[in-house]
Amino acid sequence: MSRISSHPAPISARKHRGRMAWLLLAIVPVMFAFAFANIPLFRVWCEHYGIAVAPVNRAATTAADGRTLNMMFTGEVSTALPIQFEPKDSLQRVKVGERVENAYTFFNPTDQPIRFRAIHAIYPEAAAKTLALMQCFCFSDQELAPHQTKTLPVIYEVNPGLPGTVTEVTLNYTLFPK
Amino acid sequence: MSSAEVALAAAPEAKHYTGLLDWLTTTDHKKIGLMYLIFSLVNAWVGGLFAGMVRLRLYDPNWNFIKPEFFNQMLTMHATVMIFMVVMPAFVGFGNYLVPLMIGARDMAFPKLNAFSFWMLIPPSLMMYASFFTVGGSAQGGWWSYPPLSGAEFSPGAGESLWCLAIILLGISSIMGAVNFLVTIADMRAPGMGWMQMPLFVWATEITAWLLLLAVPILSGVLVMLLSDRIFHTGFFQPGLGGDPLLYQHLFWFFGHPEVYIMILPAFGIMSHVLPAFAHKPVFGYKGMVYALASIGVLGFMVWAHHMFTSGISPEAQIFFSTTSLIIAVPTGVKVYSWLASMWGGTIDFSAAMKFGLGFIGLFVIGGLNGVVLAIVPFDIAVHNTYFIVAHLHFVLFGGSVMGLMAATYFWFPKMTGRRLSEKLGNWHFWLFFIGFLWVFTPMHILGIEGMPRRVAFYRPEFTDLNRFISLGFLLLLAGGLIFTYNVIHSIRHGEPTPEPDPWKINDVQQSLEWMVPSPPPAWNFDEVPVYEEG
Amino acid sequence: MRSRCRSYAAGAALWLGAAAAARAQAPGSAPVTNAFGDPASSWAHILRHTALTGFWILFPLIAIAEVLLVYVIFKFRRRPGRKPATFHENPGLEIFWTVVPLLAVLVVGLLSHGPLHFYDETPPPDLNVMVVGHRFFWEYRYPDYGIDFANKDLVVPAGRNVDLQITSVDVIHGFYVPSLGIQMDAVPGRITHAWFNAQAGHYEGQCAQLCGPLHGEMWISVDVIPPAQFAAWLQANASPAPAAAPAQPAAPAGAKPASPAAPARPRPAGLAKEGL
Repeated sequence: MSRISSHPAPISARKHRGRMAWLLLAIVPVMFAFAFANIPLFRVWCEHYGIAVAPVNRAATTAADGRTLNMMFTGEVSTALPIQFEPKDSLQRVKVGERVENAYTFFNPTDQPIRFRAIHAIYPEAAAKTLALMQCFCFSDQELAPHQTKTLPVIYEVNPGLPGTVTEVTLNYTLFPK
Repeated sequence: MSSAEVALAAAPEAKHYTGLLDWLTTTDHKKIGLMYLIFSLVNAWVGGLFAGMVRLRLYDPNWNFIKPEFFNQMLTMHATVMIFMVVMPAFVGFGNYLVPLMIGARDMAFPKLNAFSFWMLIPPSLMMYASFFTVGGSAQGGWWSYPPLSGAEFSPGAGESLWCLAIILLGISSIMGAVNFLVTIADMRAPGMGWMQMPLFVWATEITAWLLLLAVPILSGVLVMLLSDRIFHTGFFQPGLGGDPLLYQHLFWFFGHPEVYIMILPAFGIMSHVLPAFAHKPVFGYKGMVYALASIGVLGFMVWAHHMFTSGISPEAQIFFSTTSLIIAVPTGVKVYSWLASMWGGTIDFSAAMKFGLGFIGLFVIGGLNGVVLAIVPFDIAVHNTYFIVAHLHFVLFGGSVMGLMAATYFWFPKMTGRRLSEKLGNWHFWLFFIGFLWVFTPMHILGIEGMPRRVAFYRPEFTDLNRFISLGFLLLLAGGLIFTYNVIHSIRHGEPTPEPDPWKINDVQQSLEWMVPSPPPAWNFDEVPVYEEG
Repeated sequence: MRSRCRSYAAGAALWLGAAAAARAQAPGSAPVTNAFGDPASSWAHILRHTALTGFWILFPLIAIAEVLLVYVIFKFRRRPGRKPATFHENPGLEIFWTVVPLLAVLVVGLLSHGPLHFYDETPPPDLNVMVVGHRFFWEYRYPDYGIDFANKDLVVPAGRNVDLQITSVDVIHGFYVPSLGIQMDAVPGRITHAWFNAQAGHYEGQCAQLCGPLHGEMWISVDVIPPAQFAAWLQANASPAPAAAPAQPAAPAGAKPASPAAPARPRPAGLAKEGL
């Protein structure tokens, strides 16, 4: 008995199905692109909520509202990096609207040059949008020659938008290799 | 002339293969469906043995012949194989076999594409197996593969990259299959069969195909990004390069949650056939069932971050996703109550297929309970990433999806092969699976509540007794699996012959078109293209 | 300043010895407790209450299904002479079993708003702790006291608001102490947050996010001790005074060095004053 391995439908039906298939397949690159579109979308969303905000060189304001708060400075080093670093002041009491300077000292104890990037994190999220970084070593990659010590400044200001419940803000840097 | 003879006359002289070459070149949806099912069964053994390795280590974490690195490979690949190489292909296999028959078509819309979709499974599967032989072994960062753990620095071997590539390729197969189903169902239904006359398994396949089409490209996108981070050192997810690990989690779970509905909706469809059939009643609430399937599909895209309640998402996000996750329980509940009503007042035959159907309800409903309470954020904070989650996911994926696949196998095996599976062996299989399942997975709720995290190769001494108890239960599942496999292999040749169209004698209530053709159906399915009439 | 240098250098050395140290550390001697059996913080009690309330509201919806299933199995078995019913719809019933569960889940959702608010509105902290996840151990820092150690119990005062700022230096870890009701991922490049106010006791936990081969060995132990004892512990563990540096006033033993622009930090309420 002969077997049928294809069952040709009328040409018009096949064309119709073919068109439908291409229309449906067109969804695939759209969704694929949507995944990539989420990269900037996610960044915008996070900036809005003050989560994991990218360091931005924000202009200082001259506004003040008389409040003071504690700024804590901490630092971590990624597993892969042998750098030692610490803040000059691990705690600063600052006024809202006041431009303050701090610094971190970095030391490379090895015989190799090291390139790294400092990623900052601010806690609480509510404060992240009001912390203006005027100068920060986290804006760009940094490099340390063998056995070099460097002190790099951080100049910042807390803007008046700071929520009233916040009395202490942590600025943390994690160093990652480049 | 019958339309079959017309078709025969009009068809070009088809090439005539026999034996293995026939199977290798076939575009017949029934043969392709069977190949998907065989592929699934073979990989079920692989995935099951990986689970056995996990339970073996957890019997005594001091037995160091299963090292923690290998343990992580086993848990990662157990999940990967079961999801991508067992459950998904199995449902596609049943869909392939049954959907054209159920809608009165002679084949899928694109038979050659159908064959391609199946054979596309083979290279990535070989990649997955090959990854064990690379330096460092297979992927071992969990089946979600979160960066930075899955990044180049912490998963330096080729195994993780092979995993990413294999999943992308498997996704291509899924997408092609989804398009094929959507066009087939839209355009090839028998005259008179409108959307609201289709069998519920066809509806389930339709919604599942939409989920695949929309979600799988997202997975492909995020894995391309991960591969790019790994190979080209880009910074999508690496914090040191300005990336964000949480972006990965959002994108992954945007796919990952629809994925679990992809794995359960076809089982829902199967239940709507099996349960009424053996209660000798029509299914209850057809319209409600369709709306429930569709709303689960839509809502399934709005719940993803309930996998991320403890990842550092905002309180507003927690409340939103908690609400949507609670709401999605409602259409699921509608289906469960409808199945109960489908059997209410019926005359129930407890065939093996029916036992698995009833077991599905009993177990899946528990999975629904432990799932809906997880939508309560404070509760999830307490048990996230613990064995409570492992319990939940297995109640819905094993107690749900696998029991559904077993019911489908016993129900449609006579149709596919013209022979019955042994009901006696099916009975043994059911009870070993049902009791074994409860033995293994019920105590995991306790372990989770008591604080044992998942994916750990070591646990606190006070968890020893429960872990050992659970590991022993694995043997029951293993025995059930052996009996099932033997039953299938043996019955293909030696099962009781059932060449008639309606071996279960259900056409007085079912009248689903696959039960109107001989068992197994001829290559062209129907002698005359059926015209569907109400009633 | 040099002491801080030492403590960070110590951190680096700690990392180098991490793997061996992690393997050596066995789980704590106390049994692990959990938020349901032994809630030990204000939040844990609320968590437990919310979870149980939600559970008991939802449980009947599920229990009814199971009871009906058993009933169906026994009552509607095939028996000679009985014909099956033919009904296949009942709009009233279908509306009922859509609306009632919907109301139930919405009530459960609303019930958790208050507790989530409690959890997210962090009260003013009495103690700040930085929790840093490493492969495969936990490092704890008390930035106000210059304390930094790893692979040991986290020591905190009872009945005080302890604020955890959590991060990681490598992969995502999970800081999980069941009895305190806290679980929060430690994400590299981010600070995540948890807080608790606990009763005295010893609480065990474990890393809850797969982080590599020794994920199962990242044990967590939290020692919650009365405030007076905690003050003594602080004194015993705080780093020694820094050497006098230009423009820095000499600081008393145990105090953290303050820059001239920063007056001394207001002492957290409730802690002993001596040397802190």
